[in-house]
Amino acid sequence: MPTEPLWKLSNVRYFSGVVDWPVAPVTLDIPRGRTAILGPSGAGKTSLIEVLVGFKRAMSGESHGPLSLAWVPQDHGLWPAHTAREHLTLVGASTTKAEQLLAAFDLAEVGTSRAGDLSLGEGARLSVARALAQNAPVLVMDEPLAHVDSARVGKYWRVIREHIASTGASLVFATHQPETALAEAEHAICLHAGSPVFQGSISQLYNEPPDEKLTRCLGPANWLTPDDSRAWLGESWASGRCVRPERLVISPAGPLTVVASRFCGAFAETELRSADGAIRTFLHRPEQALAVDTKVKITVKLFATS
Amino acid sequence: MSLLTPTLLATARAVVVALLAVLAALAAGGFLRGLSTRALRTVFATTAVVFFTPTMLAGYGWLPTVAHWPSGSVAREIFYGAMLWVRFTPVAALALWLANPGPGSSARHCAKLAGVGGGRWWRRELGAAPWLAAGVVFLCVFQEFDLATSWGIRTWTVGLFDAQIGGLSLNESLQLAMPALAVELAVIIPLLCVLRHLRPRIREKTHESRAGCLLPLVHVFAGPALFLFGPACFVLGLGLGGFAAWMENFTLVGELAHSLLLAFVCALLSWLIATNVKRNMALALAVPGLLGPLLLSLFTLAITQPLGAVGRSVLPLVAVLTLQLLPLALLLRVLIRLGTADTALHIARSSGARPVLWSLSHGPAAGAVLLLFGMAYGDFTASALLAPPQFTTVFVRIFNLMHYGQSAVLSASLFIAVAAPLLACWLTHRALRAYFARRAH
Repeated sequence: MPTEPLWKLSNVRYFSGVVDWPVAPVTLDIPRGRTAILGPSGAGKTSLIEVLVGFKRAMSGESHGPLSLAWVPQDHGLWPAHTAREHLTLVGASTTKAEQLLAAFDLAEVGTSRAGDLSLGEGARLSVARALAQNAPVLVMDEPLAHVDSARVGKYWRVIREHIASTGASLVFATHQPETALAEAEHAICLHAGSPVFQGSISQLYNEPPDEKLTRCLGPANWLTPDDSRAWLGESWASGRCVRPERLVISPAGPLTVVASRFCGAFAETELRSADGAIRTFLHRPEQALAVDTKVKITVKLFATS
Repeated sequence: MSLLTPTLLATARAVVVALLAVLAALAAGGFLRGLSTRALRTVFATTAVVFFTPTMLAGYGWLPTVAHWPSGSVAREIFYGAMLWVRFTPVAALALWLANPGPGSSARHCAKLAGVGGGRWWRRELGAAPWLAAGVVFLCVFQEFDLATSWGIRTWTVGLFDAQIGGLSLNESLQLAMPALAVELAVIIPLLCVLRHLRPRIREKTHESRAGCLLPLVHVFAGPALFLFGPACFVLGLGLGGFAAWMENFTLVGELAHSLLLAFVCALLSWLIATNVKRNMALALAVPGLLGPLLLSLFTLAITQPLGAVGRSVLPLVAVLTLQLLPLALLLRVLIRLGTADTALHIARSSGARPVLWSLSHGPAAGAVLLLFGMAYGDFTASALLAPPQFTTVFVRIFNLMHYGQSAVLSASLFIAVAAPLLACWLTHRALRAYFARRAH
């Protein structure tokens, strides 16, 4: 197993964003395997990806990366006058492989349609299918399947996963979906104002993000400071910690009072009032509905820290 | 007498300029596609200034420069060709943008990464769009008259116009025009076939590199400099001493009024027709305008001469100018429809949001009429051939005076003639805005 990083960026400077502001020099190693690039809108995910694939030129610094790769741009980068099938055969897929990919991405019916006539969702799928058809050792995807209905996204990610497993390709992708990042990535890079503020494993980012800002890269979470731990848990933590909804348990009988509770699907938002009258919202996975004015307590299921 | 050689010469010139214009437009396509709507509007507005400035100003302003080169010299021909290229490349860019600007730069980069590309791929992606753009520019260059006649360029329009004005019978003039008509029809018919199947769409802004920014920047600065500011400075400098004389005599006031009135009526008529016809009828109505003012005027003369008083009135001129403006009016209508989301317009109408309605609908329509007005005002050819003696327009009068050479009074007159519609447009614009703003409140 080679240990050399996939990309090695040393003090690379480039323009980022719609208004083209220059970012601070970026030094970054992207490992082989599956890496998610995360960050809020405008953090510079697309710009970094465009530099990685050679679409955008770096102003200075050194960048070493793979010579052969396939790219799924944010705008899909389709060739409007070519049919969906031609998108796959032109990049090297055999007729059989092209048909398989069209079927896998539910594009068989529009195989003879020109890309310019496809819907946004179909275009997004075709862009991914083209990248897989290219059979490149590295796949770079900028918010892939962003316009695809959520019910089918999992199915298409399975196709990407199987392709990676069978070819040994590496995947670098930008996403706004915490679930996608958690399910598909091994490594994470978080960006803020164009600069990487976190590089590490996705599980580390999920369970032990170093600060409150980074907790939000992977979805809803509670950030509890040492003061919070004293006030709400009756514990005394040495530093702030991220507590994901599934690790925060609100159970009956305790010093806290339920002010309101809203179920949001994967988690609930519950407002609690402490004995001294302070009110705060907690995110958790409710085991039972919490009625207003119920007396409750909070416990946290922490990981064993290293 | 035959105009075959000047026609062939004009054809060759138009082919070269059209190809160079399309190449420049293709090179700039990606950059333009990556611009924000506001920046794109600024680029097109700046280059539109060139298109809507009466070419007689550039013809007059650059005459001392052109006169340095002998008549028929290569230098004069190159200068003329370059000026036409600067003037009409934005037309090619607009045609490409509407028809098919080609794949975005991310799509091109994907093709590069996948090892796809080459001539066949490009031809497929671009389709008929470059030919459409080339056809439109070809017609514009092939029909050019104002600069050619000012600078003594050998072309069929000058030959035919001089022959007709010089006393040749209409039948003989029409016979002389046949080779040019054949060339024009050979371009217009395929052009209409392409246009019939064209479905212009709003172009999504794409991630574009800055490559290709040079040519648009050149056009944004060089176009207005060559066609408006440079000649205007020259005319102003030469005419400084002539303004006093002009003020004393108020010559051209009648002609100015005729031109302004004629331009306003024709602009309004063409806009009303353009906004009230269906697609196939619109294409059919655009054909006479695509023939150019010279041929259209000659054919109109042939039709209206036997009509007596009607033929000798201003009506044939109004009809020709309206038809002449129709292709542009239809284009502006398409542009306005593309630039306005139907949903936004519907909500603005149903919610009674008048200021929004002004910005989405009435404002662009008024702007289109103003542009058509500017285009009609600059007409010389149709007015020279069709205007009755009591309805001489300002540029016909100035053109007649140009035979006596450049002078301070003539320069002042030309400057005033060019500035008058700008002033009129600005005043109208202010008045309309104030009117709609008052209605909104």
